[in-house]
Amino acid sequence: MTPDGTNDSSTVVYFYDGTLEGFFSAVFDAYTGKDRPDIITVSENYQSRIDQIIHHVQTREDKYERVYDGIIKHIGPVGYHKVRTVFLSPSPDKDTILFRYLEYGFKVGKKIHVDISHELVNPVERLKKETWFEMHRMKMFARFAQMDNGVYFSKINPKCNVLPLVMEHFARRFNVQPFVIYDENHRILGLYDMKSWYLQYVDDDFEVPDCAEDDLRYQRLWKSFYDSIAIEERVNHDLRRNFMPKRFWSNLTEMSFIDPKDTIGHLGLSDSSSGSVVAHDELLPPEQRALPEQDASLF
Amino acid sequence: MDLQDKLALLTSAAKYDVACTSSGVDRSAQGGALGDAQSCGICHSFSADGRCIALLKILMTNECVYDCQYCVNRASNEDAVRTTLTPQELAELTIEFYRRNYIEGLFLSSGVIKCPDYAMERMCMAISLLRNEYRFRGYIHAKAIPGASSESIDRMALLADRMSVNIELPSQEGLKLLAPDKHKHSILEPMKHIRDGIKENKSDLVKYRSAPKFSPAGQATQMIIGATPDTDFQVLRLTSSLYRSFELKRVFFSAYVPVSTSELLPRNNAVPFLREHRLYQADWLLRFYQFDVNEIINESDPYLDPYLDPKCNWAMNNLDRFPLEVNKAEYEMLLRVPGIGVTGARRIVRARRTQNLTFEHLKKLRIVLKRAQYFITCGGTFAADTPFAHDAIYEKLTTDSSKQRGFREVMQARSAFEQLALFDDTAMLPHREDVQKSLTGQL
Repeated sequence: MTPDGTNDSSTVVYFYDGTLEGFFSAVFDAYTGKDRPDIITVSENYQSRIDQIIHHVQTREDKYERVYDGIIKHIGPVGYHKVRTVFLSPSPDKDTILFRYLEYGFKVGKKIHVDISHELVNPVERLKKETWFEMHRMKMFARFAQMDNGVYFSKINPKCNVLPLVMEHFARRFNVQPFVIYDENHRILGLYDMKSWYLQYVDDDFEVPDCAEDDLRYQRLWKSFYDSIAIEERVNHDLRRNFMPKRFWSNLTEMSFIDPKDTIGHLGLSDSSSGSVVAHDELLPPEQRALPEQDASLF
Repeated sequence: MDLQDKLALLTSAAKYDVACTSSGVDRSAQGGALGDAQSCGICHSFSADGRCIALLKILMTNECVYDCQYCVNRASNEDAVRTTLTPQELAELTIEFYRRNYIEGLFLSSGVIKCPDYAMERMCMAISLLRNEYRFRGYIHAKAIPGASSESIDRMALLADRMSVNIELPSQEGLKLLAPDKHKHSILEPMKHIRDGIKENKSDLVKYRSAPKFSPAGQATQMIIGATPDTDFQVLRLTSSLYRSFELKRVFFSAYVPVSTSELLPRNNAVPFLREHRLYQADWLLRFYQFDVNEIINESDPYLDPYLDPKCNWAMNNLDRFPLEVNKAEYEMLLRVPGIGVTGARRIVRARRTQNLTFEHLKKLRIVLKRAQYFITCGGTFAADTPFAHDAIYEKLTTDSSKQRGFREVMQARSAFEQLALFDDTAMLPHREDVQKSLTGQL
């Protein structure tokens, strides 16, 4: 069953505002209202049919509170954490999946955490893993550059809306330096001003700022380190791409750095800035050189 | 020489030290200090050879008075350009890389400049700068130099998170031949001292919670594979005893890459990748799957099977223990099923408390049924496409597994290439089956 209506035999559809509070309000309505929803989603994602019953959920704080309490009571803080995490997933079905999960959780209680092969539980466990891993990848692959005003700036493009999860990690680790993380996919800024961190939506005309001249020095040094650490005889682009998919490369200094002062730098680095052909390639005998990348999947 | 050139040179000199993790220590952030450490470890990048980059891995200097034949920095290598980083330069690099989220911390080693204790002293200056002046709370992995005094080691262990002393060569003969400056006891004594220090520290910490920590992420080491004729049996036996008696956290294996023209080392250019891979698989069995080293390998058959990973190999040699009923078998036996990993086994034990598991359920739990199907039943049903018999299953495992396919192509290509030297006429190129047969000794 998909939000675009194919193979969709549902009759009752709930539309909500896309926020977590709105989603919990939808769950509240499902239990107190007349019609149990077959689908819960945001109206932008779904083309409703004329024969379906549509219900627009009113987001209210008391509804949110009631459902929150219910979740803690039946499936515990662990359950709440799972719901909270899966909610950040980009999957269009996540709301319906979560709703069915909660229905089951309200029925069986904490046993739900053990019953992981159950058809209503398994999708949530799977989505939670995917979302958590995307967050972990942001911890791995976010790169900062210092701007002229001393603030460290980073741009990320995560599939899931993980900036709230990731700000906590960086605010602790980098508590001695002010920083900004820009989630370009979700148009949100995470700001840390040395006291606390907060989120802010971004204007349409927002531009990624330039880094300080000084910062280029460290980018150059990092690129130099990156190129030197590989053992030529072990070059394996497939393995690297497996661990570090190409969709991350544009934000990684070591894969995308183009030195402004460089034509051919003294380490011959400029060719390797595209990432697909490493400078070391020339050192390999012909049969071992990597073929030009055919990326059918820039996953 | 400018900093960038020094960095490139000293990084390149350090790259054969394969230890890569930033794991084993939780150190929470503190207001006013930079950094923290997370025990799961965080990889920040992956180099062109596919290895993870978590730390700034570098030598303090590549000047060395030792002459270990397998090492690119050996004293007799006149082609090597020698350089040194000051403690200040090293600390600055670490801090600035860390601030930009390039790294989790520092991995510091050194050539033996003047003597082991002098080299250790220089390293300690850099690490002490990081810990005390910069108040750095990230991860530091420091190498102890063979032959260093206990005092040097103590000083370093109180600053670093993990220590290692590289054994490099798995046997005494190899050591004598290739690294005459490193006597066996100059490697083992520091390792024992670190082990004892860690043990003592653990009991101190029980008494005084704020006692300074002594190498809290434990100790590791490395062995070079393929530089000497040592067998897999010798390597694994040593590995197992290192885990037991030295309480190491990790043993790393580094496939020998010919960096030396020494007469004493193998000349061919083939890097023993598969052998290294099999050894890591065996290492995992020792650490996570509760295997004893004698179950994996023995003296009469001292090399690991190239066609089957060690776990499959054990299962095939012990088919009388299978098939296991997935809903009833104990956790320890589930671990032994090819295709069921530690996570899979845990999931099965969890999920079967509420449901009788079928093959559909196992798929949802991400069990690799392609392999596991030959060794398990669900509710009594054996669902594999072959009868439960040794040869039939062996055939399937060696032809179906996609990992094996990759390996076979390499072997066949090599073999075909070698065969070409015998045949002038390319029409006489041997068939795939013939190559396969010649590899398995049937021809």
